[in-house]
Amino acid sequence: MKLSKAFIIFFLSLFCAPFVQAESYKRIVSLAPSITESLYQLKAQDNLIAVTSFCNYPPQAKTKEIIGTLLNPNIEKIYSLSPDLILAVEGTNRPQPIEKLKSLGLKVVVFEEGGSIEDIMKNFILLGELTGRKKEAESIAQEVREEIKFISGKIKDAPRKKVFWQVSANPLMAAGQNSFANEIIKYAGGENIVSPSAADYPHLSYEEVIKKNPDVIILVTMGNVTEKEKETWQRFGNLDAVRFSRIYVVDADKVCRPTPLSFLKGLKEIVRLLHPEVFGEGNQS
Amino acid sequence: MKKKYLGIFILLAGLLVFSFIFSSLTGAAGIKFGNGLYYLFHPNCPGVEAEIIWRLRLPRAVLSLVVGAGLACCGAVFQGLLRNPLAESYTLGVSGGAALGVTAAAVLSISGIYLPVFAFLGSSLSVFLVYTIAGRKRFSNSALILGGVILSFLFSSLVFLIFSFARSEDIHGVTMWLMGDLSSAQPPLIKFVSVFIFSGIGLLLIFSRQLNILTLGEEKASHLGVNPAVVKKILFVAASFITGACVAASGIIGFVGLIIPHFMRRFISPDYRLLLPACCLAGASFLIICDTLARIIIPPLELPVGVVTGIFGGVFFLGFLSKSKRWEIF
Repeated sequence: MKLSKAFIIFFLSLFCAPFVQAESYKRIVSLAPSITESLYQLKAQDNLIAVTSFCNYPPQAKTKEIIGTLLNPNIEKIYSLSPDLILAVEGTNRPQPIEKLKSLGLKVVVFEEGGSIEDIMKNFILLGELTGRKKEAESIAQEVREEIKFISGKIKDAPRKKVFWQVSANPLMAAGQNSFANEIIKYAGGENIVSPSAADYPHLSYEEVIKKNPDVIILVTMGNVTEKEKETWQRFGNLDAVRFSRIYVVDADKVCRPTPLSFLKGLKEIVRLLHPEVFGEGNQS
Repeated sequence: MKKKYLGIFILLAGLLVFSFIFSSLTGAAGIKFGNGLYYLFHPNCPGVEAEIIWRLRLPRAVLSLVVGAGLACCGAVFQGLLRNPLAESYTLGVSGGAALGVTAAAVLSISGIYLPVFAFLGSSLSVFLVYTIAGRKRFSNSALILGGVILSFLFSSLVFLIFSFARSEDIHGVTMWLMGDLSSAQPPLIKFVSVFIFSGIGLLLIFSRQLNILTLGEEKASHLGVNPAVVKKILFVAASFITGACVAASGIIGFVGLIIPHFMRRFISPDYRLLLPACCLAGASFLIICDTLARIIIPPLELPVGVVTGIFGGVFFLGFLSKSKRWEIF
């Protein structure tokens, strides 16, 4: 009995071996907060050995070894940890340290930068493959897709709101058409008032914003704000957003991390602000 | 050579060797001193620790050595050339041009690994412009200084112009570079830059006697058989290109070219035949020590080396300035 069981397991394992992830990395260094967060969401944190000092979410990430800042990772420190995989994001990480790490013979995977939800899903699934958790990644992605579909369905007939998404007051900067935030706005039934431009976060003038008269103003804060910034906008009493008191302050950590689950969390928060008649209090999805 | 000078040179060489070894044996990886010393003399040892020393710390120390020597030497030359104690390697717009080149490259989405090329192109542009402007005024000091300084301001305004509309992601790399970055140069670049800088320094050494005469004033110099315009042209171009190479490999590292020559004038002599080699040794040691400090003050975070040279050098120099009784340079 026992023997036959062992045989079955043996044959099964032989049969399955080619399908098990050939490359499942055990000593990963993450060079970007979004990667760190995604690894935790995939429950692959045991394979993660070190992060940057910017990786503050989830809070447990802070217990990992620190290898320097986002812009200035300490190459010697990384090398001394003998990682089998280093993960970076194009545009977020500087190319010079990455080239240096590659020249030392370390394996570095650089994720393409992309603001769209499909790019984010693609990166997430690739991360799943690298950590031997492709299935989990796919099921999370599927779940998120369904939730997005559900939300889109509910607001299908609601009027689209003109949204101004401010990321910085001085200088005045907004989420542009290529940004991650723009994707949230789009799926939340809004329309970004900022005209298309090359920059993810373009500079613009107060005049421009006032001329476009947004229905909703979203002030994203890095934790240091900001009734004062709200007051700045309240001076312009003719704006629809001011007349109907639709200026909201949103925490950057909630809406600025490009991972599928954070996207969903951000989307839920924003859709509630844009369409309180559908997703308001007592009307929870 | 007098005995006194020999002693000082041995001291400086000792300092350089000490700082080089110190730099190789300290860092974020926490390698034990004894082990590190062993690996240092056994280059082919396997293992991560030996690799860290031989592939990360030593190349970086070599780059610091070369750049420190180059910047200090050029600073001394510019001070003599322009007869101005405030002159340093960057006074004549070399750094401004390099910064513009690097910023333009970043905005054009040219990969960060080509930054050195663009830095060098930018500084060459600035050398060319200053040369042309000053050339019309027979290379007078005021034409060189004014041309260089104004060009620096013009370039930095252009850099800020680009900053104001560039994507913030593109600028990340540039801002690190503007504060000095010795961490990412690759060995081939280090080799190339070393050969370039040391041959440049060799050329400067050949002209050290003429430089001595030039510091007496142009009129006296021409009476003594030195053609000021020709010597100034050669020295200006050589020192600018050395600075350009330093900037290309390591970004903008201030203060080395200013304080090291002033120190060495006091400790050794204002005679350029002694001053230039002394500046080489002291500048190299100074930059190696500053870079090591930048790596170990708050590990594992690394400070920009330009910040360390600025603070460390500036405070030290102020103290020196207030204590010394006589303060005349030329």
